[in-house]
Formats: sequence, structure tokens, C-alpha cells
Amino acid sequence: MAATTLGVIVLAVASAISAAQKVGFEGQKRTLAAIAVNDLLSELSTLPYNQLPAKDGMLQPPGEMRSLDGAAYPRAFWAVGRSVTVRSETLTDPSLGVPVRGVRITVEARDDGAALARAELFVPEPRP
Amino acid sequence: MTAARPTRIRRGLTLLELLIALSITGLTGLAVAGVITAVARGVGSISDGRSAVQRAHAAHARLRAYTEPALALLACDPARGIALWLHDDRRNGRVNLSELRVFWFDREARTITVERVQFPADWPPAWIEQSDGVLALIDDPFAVMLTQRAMGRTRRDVLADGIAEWSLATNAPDPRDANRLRLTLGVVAGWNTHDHQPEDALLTFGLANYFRPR
Repeated sequence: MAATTLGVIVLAVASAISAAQKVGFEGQKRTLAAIAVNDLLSELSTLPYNQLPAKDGMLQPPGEMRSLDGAAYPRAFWAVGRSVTVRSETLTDPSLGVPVRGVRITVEARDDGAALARAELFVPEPRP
Repeated sequence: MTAARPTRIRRGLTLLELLIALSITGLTGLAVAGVITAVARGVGSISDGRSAVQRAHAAHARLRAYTEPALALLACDPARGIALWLHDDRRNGRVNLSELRVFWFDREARTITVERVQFPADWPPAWIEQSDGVLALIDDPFAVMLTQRAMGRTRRDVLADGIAEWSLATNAPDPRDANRLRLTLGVVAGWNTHDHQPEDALLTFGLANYFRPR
């Protein structure tokens, strides 16, 4: 009886700690994903406009992230990967009624399952 | 007629039974203590990792607030810091003292600080304009900032703490030609940051408004 009670208590405590750790790890992963997404978007914003479409479909699986210049991300980022989509788009400012052509860059960070963070940037086409 | 034999009633434990029970209790206690210690160590390690990640994230956000609008890198020296041309408020295409920001890494204090020139508040605009000199391309921005500091005309703020190491890289050999900066930080956790091993974090920054100063 005593042994059973002790076992149940230990199991309950262990499962509570495990759940807390899982939640903490998920939060940590999302923070790293936010850094990774902002980093890549910031780097892409430095490229000439005509080079942006070539980045569409860029994929870095979890644990294989690299900066635009080829530097590997450290082990803290092992669970995070990211991808890029670049789509042509025309935005119209409602107050001016002026259409602005450009590309929308979307960077999404994922783990093996779900999306963790996502950021977008509209880059207008430069004047010829 | 035979008399009924008296029944033996046990009123306690024998010494042997008591010793066995105590040993089992002791072993169980030891096992539970071992499990709790291991779990506590694991929780502590995860908590340290989380704390380091939060520090890296804070450093990232604060540095980004400077790099996003910045026009150019002026110098990048792992031993001293980063010099940045933040804006061109004087609209002359050149770096004035008030447009310069220097990020210092203090290995002892484990901090990254940002320093800028701040003229006395009671100075009239004409004095400030006269003192807000232009940096020549050959000037060392770190030395320039130290000179201003010696005159009591700078302000320093801590941007990040718990930074044990840093390394810098740019996408061009001359930082003035670079529009991307890579910063690897060794971030430590906890309040007493000297007790922890650093966790590496890579932060990259792009200068979307890059403009080479004249």
C-alpha cells in the first residue's frame, strides 16, 4: 500500500515536471525561431531587387540553418528550420490610389511538425 | 479432558523485521532523493538555456533597433567594438559626431554598451552645430568617441548583459563596404553570470538602407 502510494506520487511529480519542461522548451524554440526569421528577412532586405525572386523556395531544414553568407547556426538552433517564399504583388494605397508593384517576401520558421514563427516584408520595385 | 492451549499473540516486530523495514525505507528514500536530484539538475539546465536564449533575444532586438535604420558600418573590431553610422540628420552624406554610434564589448563586465555623442543640454544650437564635426574616412571612430568621452560629451547605455564572448564578421573585407553583419555571442544564464558556461547564439543583421559615407 505504502509502496503503491509512493510510486503514484513519484509518477505524478515526474509527469508534472516533464510537462513543464516541454512547455518551456516549446517557448525557447519559438524565441529562437523569431530570431531566425528576423535574421533572414533582414539579410534578404540587403539583396538587389532582381535577385530576390531567386530566393523563392529556399529551404533550410531543422538543424541545417545557415546565414545568407554561409555561416552555420550554433547548436542552440538545432530544432529550428526555415523557408522563404517570394511572390510578386501589387499593393494599392487606398488614400492615394497609386498601385505599387513589388515582391512580398515571407520567411517561416518550423520545427519537424508545426510553424513556429513567420514574418513578411514587402519590397517595392525600384524605379528604372 | 485436555486444557485448551493458550494462543500466542504477537504484539510487535522482531528486531530482524524492524531492521529489514528500516533498510527498505532507507533504500527507497535514497532512490527518491536520487531521482529528485537528477530532475532538479535537468530543470536547472533547461532553465539556464532558456535564460540564455532570452538574453540573446533581448540583445538581438536592441541591436536591431540600431542596425535596421543604420546607413553604414564604419568599423568592426572584435577587440573594441562596432561603429555605426546611424542616420544623416545633417543631410551632408558624411558622418557627423551626433550620427555616430559605437557599440563596446566589455569582457570583464560581460556587457555590450552603446555610446553616442551628447552635447550639453544648455548649449545653443549654433554651438552644437559648430561642435558636431564631420568624421574623415581616415578617422578611427573608436578613438573619436573616446576623445568625446574624455570631454564629458557622451552618453553610454547598456544594451545587453551576460555576454561572455563575441565575434564579428561582415560580408565585405572593409566594413564600410559591408551591408551585412554577423555577430556570434557567447551568452550566459543566471544572475551570477560568471558561474555558467556560455551558450552560442548567432545573430545576423542587414543594413537595408546602406549608403557609403563620403
